[in-house]
Amino acid sequence: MSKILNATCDSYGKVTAEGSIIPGAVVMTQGKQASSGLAIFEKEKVTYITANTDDLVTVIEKLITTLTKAADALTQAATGLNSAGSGLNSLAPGSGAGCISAATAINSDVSDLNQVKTDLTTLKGALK
Amino acid sequence: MKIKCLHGYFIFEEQRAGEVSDFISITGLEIEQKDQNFVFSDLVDAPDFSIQGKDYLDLPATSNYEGEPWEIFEANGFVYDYDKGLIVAIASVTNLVTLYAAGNFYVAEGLIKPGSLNQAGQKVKSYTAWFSTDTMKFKYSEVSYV
Repeated sequence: MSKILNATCDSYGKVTAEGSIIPGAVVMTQGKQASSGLAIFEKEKVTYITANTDDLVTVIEKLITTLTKAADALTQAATGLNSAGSGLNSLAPGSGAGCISAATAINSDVSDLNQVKTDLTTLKGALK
Repeated sequence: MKIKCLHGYFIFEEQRAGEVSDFISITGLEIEQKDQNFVFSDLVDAPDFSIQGKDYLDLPATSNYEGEPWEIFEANGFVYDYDKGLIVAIASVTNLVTLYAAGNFYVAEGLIKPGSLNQAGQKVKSYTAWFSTDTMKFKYSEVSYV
């Protein structure tokens, strides 16, 4: 059995419900801005979850940005390795195989990152 | 009448029709129905959660807690003082009680106040009591201490 109360959280992480600050409430979001949400009491534990999707969307947008940068950096690295591999192969056939193989592996990882980005973009759009 | 004192919260269980009315008439204690049983009138609306620092009935709660009223009483160190009609801290109760063995039960004078100290200096926390409207006496079993 849990008790759920309407609650607010300020930018310092202080949770308030029923007109009182709830000491020890654990805030379950990354948001630094004030929000409204729910305080969930389970025996002696109190957890706060925001019902304000704005800070969740902000977190997701930051993740997407970070993943985009990582994917771009890896793509550049893979391009460089491919070029290096081609150059080595022209000097000595087969000597660039390692670089080309590494580039292939990196491109596969970039595909995975791009899929995660797509999934997060879908999730962001689904938040109400 | 069967009386359960759980961490200072009382539940009265009627054993025969009319027993509650007799109990109220004899003892003067005000109890009223809550769910299937009866509780002290002051405790009918006891909330099912407490917030540290916010009043829980008559006292500021010392803990955040969610659960049955007696669980909240225990978490906060509260008991109900039926003489005062208030929630009090169990640590503040200084009553003395002497329990006498009588067959399979104990007997004591009146309805034991939770938090009362026995001969060994232990604070009564919970018990089951039986009140006879014939003898107008209480007998006790399953007494536990803090």
